[in-house]
This record gives sequence, C-alpha cells and structure tokens, in this order.
Amino acid sequence: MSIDIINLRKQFGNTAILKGISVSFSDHGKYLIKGENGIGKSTLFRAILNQISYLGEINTLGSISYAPEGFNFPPYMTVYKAIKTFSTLTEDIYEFDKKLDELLELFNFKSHKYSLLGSLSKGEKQKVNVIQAYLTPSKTLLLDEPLSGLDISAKEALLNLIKKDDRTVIIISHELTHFKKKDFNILELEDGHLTLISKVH
Amino acid sequence: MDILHSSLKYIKTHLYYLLTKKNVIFLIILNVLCLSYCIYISSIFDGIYELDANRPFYLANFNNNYFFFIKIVYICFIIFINISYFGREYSKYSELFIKNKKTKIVFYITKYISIFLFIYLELFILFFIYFSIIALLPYGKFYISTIGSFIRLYLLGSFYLLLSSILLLIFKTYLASIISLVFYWFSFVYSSYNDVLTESTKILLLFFPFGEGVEISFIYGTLHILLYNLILILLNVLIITLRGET
Repeated sequence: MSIDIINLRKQFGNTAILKGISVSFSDHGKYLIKGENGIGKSTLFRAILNQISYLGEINTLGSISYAPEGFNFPPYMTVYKAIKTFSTLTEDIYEFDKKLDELLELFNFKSHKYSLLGSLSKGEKQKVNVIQAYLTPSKTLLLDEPLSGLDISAKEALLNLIKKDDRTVIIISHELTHFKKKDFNILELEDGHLTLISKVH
Repeated sequence: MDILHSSLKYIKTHLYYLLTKKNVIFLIILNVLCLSYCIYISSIFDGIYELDANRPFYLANFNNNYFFFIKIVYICFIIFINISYFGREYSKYSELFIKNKKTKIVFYITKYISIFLFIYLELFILFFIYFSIIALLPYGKFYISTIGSFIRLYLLGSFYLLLSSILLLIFKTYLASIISLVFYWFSFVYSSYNDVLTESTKILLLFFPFGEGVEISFIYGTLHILLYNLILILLNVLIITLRGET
C-alpha cells in the first residue's frame, strides 16, 4: 500500500467535512477523486500531507510529491529556479536539467525557462506547478485540480505522463471530461464519505 | 539529502517569499529615512570648528537622538515585516514545503530562522549607517559597548516579533499584530518621559520591555528578555502545533 487511510474525520467548526473515510491506495495505482467544489477534496490531500490536524489514521509509505491548486509562487523567481527549488527541497534529482528540458519541451514551455513567475499567466503557472510535482522524487504523486488552466495540448501531455508513470498517482478534480475511465480507479467524495465508483480492470 | 542541506534550501526559499517587492521598497525607504535623519542629527552644518570644540556634547547628543529614533523605527519595521510575512496572503506557500510531520517541523523552524535573519540584516544596515556617520564626523568616536546596544536592540526586536506573530496566529487579523506595537509605544512613552518609574510603569515594562537610553538597558535585565524570547518561541510552537493547520 502506498497510502492507507483508516476512519479519517475532519471538521471545521461545527461542520464535518470528512466523516470517517477508510481507503487504501495501492502501489502504482492511478486514482481519480471527484466531487463538487468545497466538498473536502483538498482537505483530504492536506490531511494526507499532515498540513492539517485530523482524527483517524493515515499511514503513508515513502515520500509524496504534490501539486496544490493555485499555488502562490514567489514572483521574482524564474521558472527554472522555482522548479529546481521546489522539486529538490528534500532530495536531489539525478540529471535534473535534462529531465526538466524534456518536460518543458513536452509542455511547449521551453521559451519560458528563464521567465519570472510574476510575468506568467495562470495556466503557465499551473504548468510550473505540475512540472515541479512531477519531477519531485517520490513514491506517490498528489495532484489537486491539475488540468485547471492548462491548454488542450498541455492537458494531453500531462495525462500521458500520468498514464506512463510508475508511481501511485491520486488526482482530485471536479471536471472529468479529459480523464478516461479505463485509466483510473474513480472515487467520489460526497457528504464526507469516499465511495469507489469504478475500477481499472 | 541531509537535514542541514535541506534546511538551507528551505531558508533560501523562505527568503524569496520574504524579499517581496513591497518589503524591499519598505526596507529601502526606511534606511534612506534613517540615513537622512542621521545626517540631520549629526549637526554637520554647525561647522567643523564648532563640532571639534565640543566633541563630547555633540557625540552624546548624536547617540541619544540616534538610539531614540532607531528604537521606534526598528520595532515598527519588525511589526510590518511580521504582518507581511505571517499574514494570510502568504500562508498558502506552506503547501509545497509540508509533506509529512518532519517537513512540517523543518518548515516552521526555517521560517522563523529566515525572519530572524531578515531582521538581523536590517539591524546590520542600521549599525552600518551609525558606524559610517560616526567614522566621518569630527567628533565621532566608536565605543565597543555600542555593539552591546545593538545586540540588546535585536533582542528587543525579537521579543516584539515573536509577540506579534503569536497575536497574529491567535486572532488571525493584522490588527492583532498592531496591539504589540501599541503596548511597545506605551512602554516607550511612559519610561522615556518619566524620570522616576511608577509602579504601573514597572508592571508595564515587566510584560512589554523597553530598552532605556543609548545602552538600551532593560530594567529587569537582559536575562529577563532572553527568557521571554524563549517562552514566546515555545508559545509560537505550541500554538502552531495545537492549531494543526499551516
């Protein structure tokens, strides 16, 4: 198991957001968690990452890389510097420059390698966000609304990368149009409970 | 990657968030203001012979005015930086740093280290301005004991930094951080303008210390403020841990 969650509960004030979630994410599995806005999808990720307090038990095996939604990057960092900084915070990456160039090429983003983050559009910042998470050495990859703001070709590039990736990948999204049912175990978060809807065969 | 290497990376990244355009402009304006004030209080326009003839008077006058001014400026600077750094708009950047319990601890320790480094940088600039002016003036004389005044100013600044960050963590509003500035102001006014300290001023100074005179001495001693700083660090950690959110 990559991540094992047992009876996870979280409430903000008097409002219970997560009401006893128990789920196991297996090694190399690809998961898509869907649900309405504000239902607690990001809260689930933040609990897994120990960013918030919670009740219950979460066991993670190995390191986790993460692409949060709408991340606040420092405006005076270049794309190169930001990706290098955030993807190597806890572990250095072998042949980083080569791997980065390949990804920038794939996302049609090479011309922005030395652009300042403050000068980028929302979609371009999202590319930086997704690339840093993808490059971070980890056993599990968590992506929060990764397709948000990306252009069609970048969305396809990312989904192809995920498909080929050997790690456990967990995505949360409220739009499912671009995800193929056959590639993901689909779970739905509704009323604080997580239910498996369809499984990869 | 070892913890030291990783921590240095965290600190470098924190500094990217700290050295925003707004903060850098504020830093520049503040130091230009401070330099201008130093030139003004140096009495340089009184004439070189006059300054030379009354060296002790002019030196004491310069020192008094300089330390009186930076005690206000430095604490205001710290409260502003604290609001800008621990304020809500920056809270979201923790998301890429914290991925487990260990990285959460490293994140907060390095965040505090980086802000202490930043306020140290400003103290160094203030010291540099002071030293440059003193070196250029005909009556200028640098006493080693002045370094002690700057160290105590740093301790005082650290105290108000930690206090305002606690208030900001608890009340989650910029206004809370200003409260520490208000109390500092009361301590400043009551102890600067009263020759004999009343009981109420002593109580005020017990909880909201103020550095007296050029020496920036504390009525309850340096150990008192050191102890307070330690307690406030622990309280900061406790609040962050209990709150359970980044």
